[in-house]
Amino acid sequence: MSPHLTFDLQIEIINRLPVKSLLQFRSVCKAWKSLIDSSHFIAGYNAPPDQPQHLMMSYKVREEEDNEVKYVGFVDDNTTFPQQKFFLTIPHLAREAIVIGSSHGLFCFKHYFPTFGTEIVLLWNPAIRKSIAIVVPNEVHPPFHYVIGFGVCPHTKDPKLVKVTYISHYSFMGRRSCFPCQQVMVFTLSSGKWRTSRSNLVPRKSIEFPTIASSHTVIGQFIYWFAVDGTKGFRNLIMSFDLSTDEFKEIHLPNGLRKAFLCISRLRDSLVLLDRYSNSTTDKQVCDVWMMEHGDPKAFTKLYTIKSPDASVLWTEGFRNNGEPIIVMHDDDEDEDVFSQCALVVYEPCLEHIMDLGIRGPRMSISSGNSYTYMESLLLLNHDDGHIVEVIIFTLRGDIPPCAASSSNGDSLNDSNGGDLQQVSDADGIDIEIEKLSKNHRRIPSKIAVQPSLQTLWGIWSSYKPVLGRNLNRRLSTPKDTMQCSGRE
Amino acid sequence: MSKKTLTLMSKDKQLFNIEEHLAVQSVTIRNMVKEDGASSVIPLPRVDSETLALVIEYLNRQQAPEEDEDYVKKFVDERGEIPTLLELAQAALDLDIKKLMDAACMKVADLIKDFTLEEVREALRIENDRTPEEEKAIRDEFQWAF
Repeated sequence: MSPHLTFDLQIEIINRLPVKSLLQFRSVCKAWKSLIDSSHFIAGYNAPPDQPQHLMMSYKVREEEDNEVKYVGFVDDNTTFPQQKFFLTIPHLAREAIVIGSSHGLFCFKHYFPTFGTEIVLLWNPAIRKSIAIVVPNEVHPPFHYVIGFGVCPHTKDPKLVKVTYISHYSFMGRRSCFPCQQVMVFTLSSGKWRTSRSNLVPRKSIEFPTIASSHTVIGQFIYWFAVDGTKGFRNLIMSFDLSTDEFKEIHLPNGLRKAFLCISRLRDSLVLLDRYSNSTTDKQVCDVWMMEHGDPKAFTKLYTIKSPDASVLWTEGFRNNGEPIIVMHDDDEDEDVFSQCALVVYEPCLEHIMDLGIRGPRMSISSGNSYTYMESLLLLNHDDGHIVEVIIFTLRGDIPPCAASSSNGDSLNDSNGGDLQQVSDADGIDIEIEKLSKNHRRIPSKIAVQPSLQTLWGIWSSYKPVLGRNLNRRLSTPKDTMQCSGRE
Repeated sequence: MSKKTLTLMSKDKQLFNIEEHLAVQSVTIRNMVKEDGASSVIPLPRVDSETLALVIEYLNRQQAPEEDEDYVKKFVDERGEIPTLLELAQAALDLDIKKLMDAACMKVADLIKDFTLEEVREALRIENDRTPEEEKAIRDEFQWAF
């Protein structure tokens, strides 16, 4: 029998295993588990080159009863696509959430709870089926809006969120100069904290960000948004955020765009601009694909036009790893006909050929989704599944009748059903400031610090009705009831 | 300039001759040559003669650079036995021959990726240092992956 292999050699072999084997082989011996679980290994790990790319597609078919967003995974290789579909175990809590983007095998969702003014971001790794939640700090009020960007820094492999607060011209027609400048907050998973960026790292005050997912994409160390500059007659532009330096840059659009409907996407490692318009001869919607070559903002070139003689391109969801766009087309002549049939298809630009993916529905029932190609990663392996980063702080706002003030006492934080609500702040877990407004009203901006499970909080948030004061006590003490109602509102 | 020849000695004291300009594809040998001129025999006390013969066959290959990737892949594919591959990978790691090490480890990883835990331990000669209960607890964290 030969002597034992050196651990260095074992590391070289472990490094070349696919994610699923690594999850199993954590049990081989103690040394393997500590290696695989180490943050150094997780950050340095890249799926072996023979592993296929995956493609996640999200879509919604409204005629179906559950009205949930559907997610389907494909093995995106050159031989089997689209035969090899796989099931994606979307975290329960992400089912009603919106995808913000994808980077390094992680997906980022957000969900807003209007009553509490709280937005939660979920990071999810489908390859290891783990997710964690991050609370977005500080609610903003009109005319302020904010956008969340997400990306994993390719150098540190640290997931990063950026929250940009900007002034929206829809809510505010006055002069921006009377407002303070935009605020940028950055969250890194390694620190577990949000911090405010220095004022020299903030976009210009007139830049407005969109909130739809098709306007956010991550390539290399940059997050890109399709944005608008409110000063010069609402000129479109692309904003980039450097994940390693936290700097924003403005990218001007190329000349020659039709600009009927623009959005951005990722084609392999390049930024593409999708320019959809109506072809004047066929009267069908077509889409030009422009690529920014070599990451050079001045080098946009038009690659091709997505077109079909007898169907319209409704939107482009994303691109396969081989560069073919995934689009939603509809056959009918009448753009406005809500009953005409739509289909999710892959378009082959060279042949102008269309491959049907078998996902069809009446127009207006398939709503815009997104497709993301990704390689499996180990990110989040060293985090507890369902963990909430930082102590949850949520703030109630509103004019509360005097009787309600007394109901918001420390006792209400105890979970009578033996759940996991637990007070964590020093002063009995509750901190209330009372401000006298008029004779019978008090404004109570109360901060309640708790550390419950994400599921419990999600239940409270999603079913909480805006009858402030009266319901707070009940909701906090009966999370199990509220969990049952969640998801139907 | 005449081609200099080096002599490498395996664990079981067999001697192998190889031209120096080919041998220095190994970073380890290159450093040894630089340091002491390597006029004498270079001992490789961890590499047995069968493995060293393979390493030398690889170093002596006459491939055009653009065919090199395919060659090294085929070279390890033809030695599909895990014990042989492990010895080869270990020698390539010790001698710092990156492409050979990459390909051999990739091949081993590919062969063992669907193994059971017991098979992995046997193939890589690793002892299980956990009790069955401890092992089960760790398995349960990713039960779905098994």
